[in-house]
Amino acid sequence: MPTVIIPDKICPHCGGNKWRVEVEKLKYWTRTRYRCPVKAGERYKRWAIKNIDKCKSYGIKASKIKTESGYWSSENYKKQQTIRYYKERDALTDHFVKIRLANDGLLSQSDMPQELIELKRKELLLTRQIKNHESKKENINN
Amino acid sequence: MKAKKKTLTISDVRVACQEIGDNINDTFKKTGDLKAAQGAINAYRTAISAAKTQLVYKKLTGKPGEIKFLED
Repeated sequence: MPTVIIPDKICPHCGGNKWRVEVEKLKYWTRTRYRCPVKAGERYKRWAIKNIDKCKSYGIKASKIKTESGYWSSENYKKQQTIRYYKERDALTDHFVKIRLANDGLLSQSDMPQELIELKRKELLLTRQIKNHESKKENINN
Repeated sequence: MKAKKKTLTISDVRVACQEIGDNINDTFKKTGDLKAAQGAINAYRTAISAAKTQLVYKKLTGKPGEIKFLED
């Protein structure tokens, strides 16, 4: 569902001009509906507070639910995130390297070309090799 | 004596640094010399920073003064 900005159409609820477009395929024609994303989000939050158990059963999809006491997030989701991070770190995937490159805030991850990623990967590999060598030396001395 | 390379633009600098890094990396693999590895890392870092500056220059909005060194 893409969001579209329509300058003439203003939402009476929030005063914004962003609209979520929903295209529904019917038997003979297609119907397009415009819905306010702010209103939809508020509606979902209201529903989630009432039906926390249902949200928990959905797992990762409802990872962040605002409850009366605070935000709730499943432990399973956190674990999965850490496991994913460790896997990416060990394999030096493109995503991991891109995050390292875009650490400054000047460039985004989508700007990084493949050549730059491979250069950074080489550098990271070499630094790891040096670190491993130094740690082995320390172990031998101890 | 090796022939000298001209580095007129930043992309030339990046390629040259990359080649230096690759060469020193090969020597590190052969000999296991840590100083060579550190040299290779430095060369790679300069190449990365060169590529990054070029990307930032391309991304600049408005009308900055043209810098021939940063253009392809």
